[in-house]
Amino acid sequence: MAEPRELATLTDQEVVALARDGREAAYRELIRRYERPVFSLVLRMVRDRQLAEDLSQETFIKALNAIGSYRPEYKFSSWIFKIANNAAIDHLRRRELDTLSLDGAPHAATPGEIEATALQVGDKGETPLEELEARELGSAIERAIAQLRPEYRACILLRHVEGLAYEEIAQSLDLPLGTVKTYIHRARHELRDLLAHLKQ
Amino acid sequence: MTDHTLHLRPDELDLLLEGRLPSSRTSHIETCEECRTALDELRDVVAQLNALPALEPPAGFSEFVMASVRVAPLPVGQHLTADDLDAWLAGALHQEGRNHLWACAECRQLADAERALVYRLEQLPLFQPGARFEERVMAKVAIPQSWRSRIFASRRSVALAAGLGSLVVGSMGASVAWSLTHQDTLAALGTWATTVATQWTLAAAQGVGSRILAQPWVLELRSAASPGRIAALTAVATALYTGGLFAMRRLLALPAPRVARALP
Repeated sequence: MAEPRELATLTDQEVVALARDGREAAYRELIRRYERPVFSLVLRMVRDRQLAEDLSQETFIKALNAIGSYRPEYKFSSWIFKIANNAAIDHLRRRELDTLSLDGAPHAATPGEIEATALQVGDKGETPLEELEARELGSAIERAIAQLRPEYRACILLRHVEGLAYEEIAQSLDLPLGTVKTYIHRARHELRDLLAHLKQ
Repeated sequence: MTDHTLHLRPDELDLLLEGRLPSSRTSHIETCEECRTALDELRDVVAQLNALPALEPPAGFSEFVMASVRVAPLPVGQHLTADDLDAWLAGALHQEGRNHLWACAECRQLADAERALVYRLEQLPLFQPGARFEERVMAKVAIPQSWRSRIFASRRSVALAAGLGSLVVGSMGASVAWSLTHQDTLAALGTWATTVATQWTLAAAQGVGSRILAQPWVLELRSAASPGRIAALTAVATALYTGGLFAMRRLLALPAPRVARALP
């Protein structure tokens, strides 16, 4: 049986083949490889550590229990990011109010009202968990990413934080390649605008 | 004790500084003093290099270079597209675009801003989920068991599998051995079975035939049949069959492609 150290040298497809064969160590190797990328993506999508843990856990459980239906012609990373993104997007849709609160309450009409009702991430670091979140997600660029539309956010994170190619992102998000490019370009444009004040 | 064969290589230290080292390798740094020292030294060197002052080129440098370069920029007003900027970030921008970038301050400013933004995004760290994440996931994952692991799961399953295997192999061997030593019996059995089957089939056919012939409608049909009527019936049946064939052919034919007409 392959030892964990040997497993680390195998490709994703080889580890998946071992997992399908019922090797527990292969399952653990897949978790070790993707726990940080998946958790980071979900955390930046939902901006709540506990919730991100639950959604990441749900992602892995769903993916690993369905490992038999995984089609090896696709990259494993695309597959697991697809499940993770779907989990995050589903949650954001269910709790639409949470995401809106980042930009201010829906009824806020004036800039003052929007600012007053917007969620200031990290400014209420009362518990250790909130303090940790504030440290993790409190930088200017993290705040700017949080203000992007969820679709833009997923695209930009997968492209520039997780390092996926455009084609893999299209596969992960079930979007046409052209749409992915457009989303990323627009996201970069919005981020540049949002961060412009830092240069001044 | 630290395994020295696992030390981070120089290229891996670079990746670690850039936050791009796979998680499977980053854990090593937490336990290895030697690699931590190497990482700190590398970080110092990078910091010192970053702190070096930017030197100003001599006056008129740009003009001197531009006077020596034949620039064929994109036409006026045709700035770099988002795809061009992507290509530039990946170091794959075509020559025409590079010339334009050199000549166009607006595009240069945009490209620099894009590069700075992408650099910042790429520096974002990956976060670690809470302790025992792996265990919590594994507790809810049903690992499929291969037939091999199912057999070797316990002594009882091994004994059961061995018993079943012996039974199957033993019975197959016994039947082969018996067949080889009793070929005459087998041949006689085959002949008897063929004869009985043939007799039963013939008897059944005869029984069915005589029952049909004894039916009153058969008798009526036989009395009413004449060569002319048989010929007419045959002709009607043939016509119906041929008509059916044509109808089927029309139904199964692919629709003719519609041609768009410019004029009515």
